[in-house]
Parts: sequence; structure tokens; C-alpha cells
Amino acid sequence: MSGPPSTYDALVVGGGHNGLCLAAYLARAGWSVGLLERRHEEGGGLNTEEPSIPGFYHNLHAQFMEFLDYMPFYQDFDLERMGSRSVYPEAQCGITFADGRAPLIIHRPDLLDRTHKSIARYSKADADTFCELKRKTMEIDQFLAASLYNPPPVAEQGKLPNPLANPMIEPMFAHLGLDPTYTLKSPKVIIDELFETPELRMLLYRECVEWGTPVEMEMGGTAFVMSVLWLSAIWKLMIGGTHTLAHAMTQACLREGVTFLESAEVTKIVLSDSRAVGAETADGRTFQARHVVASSVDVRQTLLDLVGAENLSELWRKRTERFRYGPSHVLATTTWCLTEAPHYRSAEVDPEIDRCFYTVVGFEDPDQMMDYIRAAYGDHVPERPGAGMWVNSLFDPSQAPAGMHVATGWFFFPTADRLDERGWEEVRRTYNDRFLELWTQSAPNINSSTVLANRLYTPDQMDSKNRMRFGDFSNGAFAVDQLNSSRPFPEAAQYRTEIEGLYLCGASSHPGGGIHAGPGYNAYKAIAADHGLAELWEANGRIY
Amino acid sequence: MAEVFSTAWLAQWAELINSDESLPDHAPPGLWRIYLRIEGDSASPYVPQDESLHLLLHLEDGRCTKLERGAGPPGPRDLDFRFSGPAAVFEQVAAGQRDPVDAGLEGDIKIAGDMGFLLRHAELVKEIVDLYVGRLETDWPKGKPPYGGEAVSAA
Amino acid sequence: MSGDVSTAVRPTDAADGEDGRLSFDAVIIGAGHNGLTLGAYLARSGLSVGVFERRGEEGGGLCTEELTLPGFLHNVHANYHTFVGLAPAFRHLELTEEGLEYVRPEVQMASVFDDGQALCVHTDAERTHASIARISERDADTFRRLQAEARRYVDLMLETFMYGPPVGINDLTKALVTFGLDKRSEFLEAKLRGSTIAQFLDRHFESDAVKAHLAFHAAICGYATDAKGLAIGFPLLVGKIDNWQLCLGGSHRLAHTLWRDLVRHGGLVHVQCDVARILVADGRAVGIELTDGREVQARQLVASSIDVEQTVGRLLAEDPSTAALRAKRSELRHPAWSLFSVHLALSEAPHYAAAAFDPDVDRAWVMNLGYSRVGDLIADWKAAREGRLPDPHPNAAVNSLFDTRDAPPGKFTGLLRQIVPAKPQNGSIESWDEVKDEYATRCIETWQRFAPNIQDAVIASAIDTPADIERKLTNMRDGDWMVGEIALDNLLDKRPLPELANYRTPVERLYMCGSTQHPHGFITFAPGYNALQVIAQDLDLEPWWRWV
Repeated sequence: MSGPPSTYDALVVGGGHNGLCLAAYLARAGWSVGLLERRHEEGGGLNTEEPSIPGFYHNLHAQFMEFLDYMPFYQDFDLERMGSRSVYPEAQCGITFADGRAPLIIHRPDLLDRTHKSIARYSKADADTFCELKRKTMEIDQFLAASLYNPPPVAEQGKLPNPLANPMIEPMFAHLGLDPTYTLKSPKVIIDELFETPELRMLLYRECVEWGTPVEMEMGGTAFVMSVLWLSAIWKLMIGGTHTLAHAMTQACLREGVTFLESAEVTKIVLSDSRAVGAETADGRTFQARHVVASSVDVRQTLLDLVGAENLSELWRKRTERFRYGPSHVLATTTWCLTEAPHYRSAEVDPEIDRCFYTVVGFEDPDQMMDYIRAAYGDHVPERPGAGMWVNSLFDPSQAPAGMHVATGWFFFPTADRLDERGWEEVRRTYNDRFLELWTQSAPNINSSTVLANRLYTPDQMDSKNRMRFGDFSNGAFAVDQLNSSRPFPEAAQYRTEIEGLYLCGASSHPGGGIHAGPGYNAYKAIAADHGLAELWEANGRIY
Repeated sequence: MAEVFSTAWLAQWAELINSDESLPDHAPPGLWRIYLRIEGDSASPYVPQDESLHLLLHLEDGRCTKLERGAGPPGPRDLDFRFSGPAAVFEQVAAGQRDPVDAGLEGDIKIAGDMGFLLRHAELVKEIVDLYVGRLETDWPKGKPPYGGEAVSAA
Repeated sequence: MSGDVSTAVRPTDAADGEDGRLSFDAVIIGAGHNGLTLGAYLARSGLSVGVFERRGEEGGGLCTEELTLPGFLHNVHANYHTFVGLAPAFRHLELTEEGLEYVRPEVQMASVFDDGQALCVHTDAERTHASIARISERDADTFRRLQAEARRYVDLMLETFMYGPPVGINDLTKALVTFGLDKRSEFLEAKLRGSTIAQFLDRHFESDAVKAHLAFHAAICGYATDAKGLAIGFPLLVGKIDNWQLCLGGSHRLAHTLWRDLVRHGGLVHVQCDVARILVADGRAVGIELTDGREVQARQLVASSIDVEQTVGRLLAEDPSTAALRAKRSELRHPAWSLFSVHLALSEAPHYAAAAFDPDVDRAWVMNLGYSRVGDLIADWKAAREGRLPDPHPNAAVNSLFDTRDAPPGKFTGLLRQIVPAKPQNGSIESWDEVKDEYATRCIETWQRFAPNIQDAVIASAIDTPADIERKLTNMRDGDWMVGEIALDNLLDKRPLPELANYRTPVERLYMCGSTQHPHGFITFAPGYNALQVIAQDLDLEPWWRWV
């Protein structure tokens, strides 16, 4: 039986957004590219399904898009023409309370006056501080983006990477007017020092972890700027769900001539003379790579499962084995089919909370929020099931049947291995109901009469669905020793591996998880440099 | 009598078609271009193996305006129907040893083109086929089918 | 350090209108397999093609989802592909080259009967003969003759009937007689157009079990056992009885393959784009308007692959030229019956009690659970028409026996399907929501009766009712998965209405290209392919697909 070609210039393992991004650039540079995807759908975490009732669409992984305006893949391949569309909600992220207290709502950066007004209900000083920091951060957003869309700094020969040696840090803190000692502190300490309002602190803790950054991670000053100041409240909603972005990316790849090999689970990266030359799939097919095999799956699967520990040096084997997953970004997705959108008690004070893109529900004070985060990070399913919720149908009617609504949210949970199968089953059976109790307290109209169906996807299922190991959305813990020039580990931080021809292009590499396609883009830069491919970057007026 | 597939044989066939007075009544208006690809096989002594005969038949308003051997297959834009199959099958049909409808049904002669046309104009198709089978007097100087094999008898 | 290769959008792209709005030569509504097929042919003909799909995925009935648990792939709708290798699209669109793979299970289908006996249809006709002969020697011989005869003509006939605009039943019958087919065939007779499948079976077969199995097979194809005239299609169904194929990686992979072919040739699919209106100017279709207000220009044609009710009633609601059609909406035929499915994640494959009689049943694909006489089927059709839930005789399929990719290692994906009324109670399709759980339990219990290990093997289940069919695929009105009843007076040039039967509509350059059209629903590719023939004529396209 004839089929697609078996030999390509490059094989890309994994059809998530990073694999798609790298494949598109390689193909545009003139290479033949075979993209191998284990699942029946492309997109990885760009996954939208109808898990309960047909017509109610839920994003099961990625929820919001903060990088559409920065993502080179998005611009260079005109993904909007390929069918991607987004909405930029005005009220971006908020927190609501069961006692009907004023909500806190952070609006889009172009609507800072509204943000100011919301925070000023609690503290004018906090409102001034936050809005000024946000404004100044957005002035340098291109430079912040450049730090994602470039390989991390190369450590001096023979020396360990120094996370504080990044030349960008000092001018950045100077521009923002932030104390340089913040570089050493954790986001939580910085938040507590900068802001006095407990309600704002809670919201910002949550914003910080939302992006995978542990709020108590020391030497977290840069991470604070990135996750709390820059990447919050610039979220876009994908019309039709995040999978439509995967669709657009796939159409872009097809137009460049990428060959899609789907339902193709790679079980082995084939080596010849210590060089990566191909891939074998579970169903017995083999594919050859003339120049490059690039893997967008996480580093442990890539090097230990697909290449094999026996083919690694002692150092690389140890480093890979010691690469850690979670608990910083281990999530469960809770999905709800509703007959009406939530109407919060806090809307009595500020009705905008009912039209807020992302709303934190179920936390009444900072201790509850910190208990929650610490429980999840500390191997426990949090006792109090608060969540951050998106009601996408408020902005995009296509995600629910006419007149109905969908709500999707995230719970932070321990890594998948902390509970056995029965344990997670129990969580799936009971946790949504427990959350509903809290949700009803904040939004009395959300109750058994307005909930048509609900379903919970737990970290073990994230693992089995997308092979995001341990349910870690970032494919590797966010920690000082696993970031930037040390991600996944210092020797592998430039997307190259010790196996000639084998590259890393997934979220285990800098800049990590999130729908920015940074690892795929940066891996292209590395491959282009090694193989003399066209410099397809810094196009369209970008500095990266 | 003319040798099978010879120019004289084709002329005789054309004449038969044009002498049939009922044909124009059944035929749809316009030009219909029919191509017969008669593929040499190990059995037929008339078409060498690995070669093909390309016969072109034009029917215009029910009259045969062309019936000739082409140097090669007509361009894809220049035909409406194609009948193709092994020479021995076409020869068996011409010799009255094989039912042409069976040969078509069973896929020995492959038919391509507007199949709906064949249905809507079944009588016309049947008449032309019957002319080929029943009334065309054919000479078989190199031997007559079924060439030692067993003939599939016509219905 | 800017590179020398332009990163601008490729100039060959013709998807933009002058004023920046979306613009294509051909705009197709609905990305089911017919819409995609038409789109791919048109794209290969050099037209810029935009397909607009309401759902988040292309494929329509080619829908594969992890309904139960991650890693278990369930074909929510189409599961059996019987036109593999026959539909011209396989050749013309080079689907295999694009990566499409099929498997044709050796034991194609089987029946396990109440009395513990079983019957298997193999790809090997001799083994089928041996299996039937254990029940009736005479029926085994008859079936062998029927199958042999049907195999002789099935490809040519299906190609002739299906892959071209429809001819009338009178023309068809006349051709049958002119070519003497009724005389040269034991089974094809002109009088079949007045017969039910049950009558055909009674005429030729003696054993209740054999007849039940053959009627079951036709039922899965959507052919009711007791509908007058459907006997005419029965020999053709038998001709393909051993060509049931499973799309590896899930049926949705076929949709992906068609989609890729379309996009490779310059077309685009826009998902999650619901169409609000077909734009008509001077009696001619010039574009569509989406529900979000965007307009899409169609420079040459618009084709609708969705149902007539929506196309004429909703999308053309204000168009005067289709007023007469709108008035005839009530004449559109939808069956009273639909399908109820239970999708299962299983820890074991079923082990049938009847394996003691014939071990091959354990490796059969399509399984009839308990229809033991034709009357059992007729009772189900009757119950469905009267709005009663039949005693379940579901059919079962475990695709993982043949495709290890559709379940985690060592696990299995299962499907139970039952003929049911579309509207079980009070004439309301929504009432399924109340009865579905209990009915699913009854379906599983039936399976348990024949495969005693199955209940313990169930890890998770997901139910898909006629109401869910309609919710997911809105053109399958009332759960009508063939988008228009299969009945002799709703086929060929009568389908869906005589005025629309040749794919053209009263609006110039607006075409119908979906399952509403001849031949009917299922994964045939034929409505899209046939609409193409008409469009090619109207647009004077070079018909490269007919080049030989």
C-alpha cells in the first residue's frame, strides 16, 4: 500500500503548537518536513471538545491566549487568514466574593482607568502602584517578548548559568522603578511588599501561579514581572475554542507543504553512528530524517523513552532523570454546561464582574488562597475547591447552543502520581459538586437547576490524553534551576542535544509551557544556524 | 468479409451503423466521441502483446461520422466514453462467443464516461453493441477465438 | 540580520477580496465529507475554495472523539466504510498517499442467535458458505450464488447508479430490461421495485436465522426490512457485504485526509463559522453571511452540503425564488427511526457464549446481538415508527480488535447501536434525555446475555441519543443520520425533492452537494462528486477526473 513518503529533511515529533511552529518554519525554509503526532488531532494542549453535551465546547487544556500579538508564528504565517479569530475582553481578570464585597477587576492595559477605579475601591495607593507598573511594563513588552523568542543566554564556557547575569534584568527593573533586590525575592514577597489590599494580593497570587510560576519561588523577581505585570490581563479568547488555533496552524503548515503523519505514536528515535536519523512508530512504521529529528515532547520522554538511556552519556542520563515535573503547573479542568451565565453577588457593586473573562471564585481571604496553592504544591488535593473560571460564551456564542452558556475553569492539583486511579476517580466524582457549593455562594443563580452537566478532567487524564507527564501543563517544573539557560538543564538549553541531529523544541525547553510557540521558534533558530537555513526571524518589524 | 480490426472492417461497421434507420430516433443530439482501447494480450494474434489498438468512433446525431484507428489514445479532452479491455475479449464478443453486456458487467471490458448516459440511452447502446456482435461479418486469418481456451458462451 | 526569504503571505493565495473581506471562487457550506470532497476537487481544478463549518471540527459524521476516557477513540457517527476502493475520490484525491489507512476484518460480521447458534460473514466466500451451511445447506448455496452474481456487477452498477447525477426509476428499470439483466440474473428482477427486503428474503431463503442476518446487514446500511421497493437495492448491498472497512485511527482520519488535500491545493476550512444567510444578487448566489456578521464573497459559486430545511428555510429565508421550495418543506422525508449508541471503554474484548458453536464470532467486527428472525427486525421498525422503545437487539462492534490505536494498550473501545424511535415519548426528541440511562443499561444487559464477560469489562460509557445526534450535527434533523429517508420515493431523481434532485437550485450558481442528494447519506463521497459534475458543466471546468 502506498502512503506518504518515508524520508524527510526533518522529522518533528509531536503536533502541539511548538511542533507545528517548527515544522512551518522548516518547511518555509525549503525543507521537506514530516510531522508525527500520536493523537488523532493536532494541537496538543490546544484542545477543545464537547465532553458533556454536544454543542457545549470546552477548552480542556489551554484556555486563554496572551501571546497572539507577539507570536512570530502567528504573524509570519498569517494565522488569522488561516481561520484564527480572537476576542479581547475588556474586563480581563477578577475576583469575586461570597459576601458580595466589591470585586477586583483588572482590565485591558488600554483601559487602565477602569482597573484603577476597581482597585481604588479598596486602596488608592495600590491602584496607583499597580496601574503605573502595568503601564510601564507594557512600554517594554517587546523587550520582554524578545527574551522569550530567543534562545536563553549562553553560559560562559565551563561555568554554570547565573540566572541573575541576564543583562536585561537591571535595565528592566530600573525602567519599572522596582527595587533591584526584588530579583532575589519570591513573587509573593514582592506582591505583599508592593500592595496592601488583601483582595488584590489574592488575585495576584493566583495570576502568578496561573502562568506556572510558583508564587513562593525565590529569585522570582523577573518571573513576577513576566507573569504578574506583563502576562496578566492581556488575555485573548479564541473564538470557537483554542483548538481553532491549532486548525489555523495546521492549515498554515499544509500550505507550506508539511506532511502530517497522524495516529503515529513515536516509540523510538533511531540512531545511526550516534546520530539521530529517523523515528519508529508503535504500529511499526519507520521514517527517515536526512538532517534533523526535533522532539516537542518533554525531555524525559524524548531522551529516556525514545532515544534510550543506554544511548546517553552518564551526565545527560542523570540530568534527564532528575528533570522535575510539577507541582507548579499541574491542573485539572472543570467544565460546566449552564442554562445561564453566572450572576455574582459582587456584581451589585461592579456589574463588570459578570462580564469578566476570567473570574476567581471560592476564596475569601489571602490565607485561603495560599492554603490552596500550598496544598496543591504539597501533594494534596486542596480542601477548599476554589477555581478560576472562564465563561467563553459571554464573548463567543459559538461555544454554546443558543441562549446557553459554557463555563470552564482550572483547579490546581498535585501531580498525577500522588493519587492512584481510584483516588482520581473519587476526585472526578465529588470535587465539582464541592466547588459548586462555593460557586453558588458567590453566584446564587448557578445551582442544580441551571447546571445541565459538568465534568472534571484530572491531571492523570491530562497525562493519558496529551502525555503531559504527571499532568504538568508546562512539561517540567518552573524552578530557578529549570528555567532560562538551565531549562531543561544547562547542557541542553540551546535546543541541541548530545545526539547529533536531535533537537528539543517543546515546553521542556525555554521559555517553557504556554501557547507562545517560543520553544519551536527558538529551535528553528538553532537548526537554521547549524544547517545554514534562511534567517526567517526579525520579520514584520519584530526585534526577535 | 474483412479482417478483424482492419480498416475495411471498420468501414463495414460504420456502414452498418449508418444503414440502421432507427438509430437517429434513439440517439441524443450532438457529437458523442467513443474510444475503444483494445489491449494486446497473450491470446490474441491480432494485437501484439504490450501494444494497444486505439479505435475512435464518433456518433453525431445518431450517424457515424468517424470510425478509425488512431495512432495513440485520444487526448482526455477529446472523448466522452472509453471502453477498454483485452483484445481476446473484444474478439470473442465480435465472434459472438461472449455476451458484451456480461463482459461489461464483469469488468472484463472497463467502461468510463457518463454512466448515466448509458442508462438513459440504453436502447441506443444496445443497438450499436448488437451491430458489432451480430451482423459484422469478420474474417479471422490468424485464427478465430477462443484460441484454444474455452469460450464464454453468449447468453 | 533579517533573512532573504520573504515571510509575507504567499502571493498565490487568492482568499482575499479587494476590500479585505474573505473572498473565494467557491464557498461551501458544511465541511462534512461531501463538502470537503467537492471542495478538494474544485481546489484541484484551480479554484480558490473556502469551506465554512459550524462545528469545531471538519468531518460531519466522520467524527471521532474521546467520549468516555482519554485514549479511547469512539466513532460517534460513521463507523463502517463500505465504499473504500470504489468511490472515485479515493483515486482522484490520492487519499492513500496522504496517509489514509483501512483494515478489512477477516470476519466481517456475525450474528449470535437466541438458540446459541451463530453465523459469520467472512471476506473468504467459502468460509461464509461453510458458516451458513451449518444452519442451512440450501441457503448457503443460494447465498453463494447471490453473492457471486452481485460481485459480477456490483462495481459497475454502483458506479453507474451512484457516481453520477440520478436517473429516474423508470429509466433504470427500462435499462435493466433493455440490457436483459433481469433475464441473465437469478436475483435482479424488475418486480423488485415493488418488494420489501423481507419479501426478497422469503422468496430466496428458507432459514429464519439466515434471513435475519441478511436483513440485519441491510438495516445497518439504513435499509428498513419492511419498506416497499428497497429490495431493488438489496443485491447491491450483498455485493459489498464483505467490503466493510475500518478507518485506522478513527473515522475522523478520513475527514483529516480530505481536509489536507483541500488545503494543499489552496483551499481553506474555517471552523466554528455558522452561516446565517446565503447572499443572492439578481437571482445568483454571490456569497454568504456568517452569524458573526462577516460576509464572504463567492466569485463563482456557493454549494450547500447541509439539509434542505436549513438551506432553503433559514439561509435563503428572504429569497423569493425559493419560496415555492420553502412551502414544500413539509414534504421532505425523514424517517421516524434513528440510532441510539452506547460507547464503551472496555478492559476486555467480548467473549461470546456462541464461540462454543463457532469460535470466529470472537473476532467478528459487526455483531448482531439476537435478531433471530426477520420478524424481530420488523418489530423494531414498527416500534420505532410508533414511538416505543424496542426490546434492545443492539449491534456491537469492537474496533480495537483491528485497530490497536483506538484504545490504550490492552484496552478496548466498544460500540453498541440500536434502532430506536427518533422521538420516543410524546413526540419529543428531548425526552431521550430522561430515558437514555435506563435504555443504555438494557443495551449493555443484552450484550451481557451473549457475551458474559462484558459487564465486568466496562470501565466507562458514554451515551449518544438521537437528540445528541441532532445537537451535534444540526443537519441530521430528528436524528436522521442519512439526511433524508431511504425510501424508493425519496431516492434517485425524487431526492430530496424533484426540483433539487440535479444538485442545482432555483438560485443560479447555488448547488446542493450533501447527503440530502442522490444517492443518500453514508460515507459514499457521491453527492459531492455528483454535484461536481453539474458544477463543472455550468462553470465549463475541465473535467480532469474523467480523463482516462
